[in-house]
Amino acid sequence: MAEADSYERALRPLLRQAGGYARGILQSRADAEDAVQQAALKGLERIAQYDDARPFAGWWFAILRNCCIDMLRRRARAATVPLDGHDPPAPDQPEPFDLAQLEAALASLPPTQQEIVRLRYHGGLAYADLAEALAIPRGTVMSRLHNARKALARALGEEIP
Amino acid sequence: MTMIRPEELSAYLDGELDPGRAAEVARAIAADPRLSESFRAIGKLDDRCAAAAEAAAFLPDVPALSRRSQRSRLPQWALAGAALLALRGGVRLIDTVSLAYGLQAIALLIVLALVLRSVGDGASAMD
Repeated sequence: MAEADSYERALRPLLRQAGGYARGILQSRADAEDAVQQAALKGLERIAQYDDARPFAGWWFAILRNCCIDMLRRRARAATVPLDGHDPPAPDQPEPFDLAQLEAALASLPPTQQEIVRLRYHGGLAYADLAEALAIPRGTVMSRLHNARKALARALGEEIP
Repeated sequence: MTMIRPEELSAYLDGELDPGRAAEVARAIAADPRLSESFRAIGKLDDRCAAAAEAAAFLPDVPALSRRSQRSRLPQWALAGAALLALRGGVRLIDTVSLAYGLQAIALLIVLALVLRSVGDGASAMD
């Protein structure tokens, strides 16, 4: 019970960022809520395995990331067997031009670069949490994030000299 | 002149360098127009990404956590009720008026403490 209470206390401040992160990947608010819900439950099931010397946000966002990937896979499988009257989920609502442009530019990056940008901005993760979530050293976080920023700027028609 | 690796500009912007290195990077940016231009471009992109993330953020409903919060308070009420019943039963057996009042007062204090704690939990859960 004490572990579960600590888990809940640690998780609550992350939920808003988690919603934005999952929504960015899944492009649907309803699916994002489902993914966060699943990740909250999975985290609770695995809390006994969590080493509290490691950053909690990074540990939990790794679970959320996997839930989002699973959901995308299920969606892709479902899309190969279309059912009458069941269309794939459409994006929530038209986004302002700048956001749509940014999302399109982000989608054009390699998956590893998309991932680190989403975790950094939507997830609001610090470098230690990014290292934990992506299971890479902190130095790799630093270079990968910088390269992703350069690539994103290029995709937006800008340049980081 | 201190050599600055490109990724250190990003790390400096993100506040992820140790204070000594951050001061060196700050000095290098001030002294080198090319570094300064790079840093400004990263900052501009950072602002744009942060604004997009803020626009996308929302607080999802996570019923599993809400249900757990409610469940976690139930045993306190059950415990309080059990304490009262046990004490009332015990008092009948002992049949000593002063002891009965004393025990009941203790029981009431326990109940009061549990109620206050429960109200406090409820208030923090609303935050």
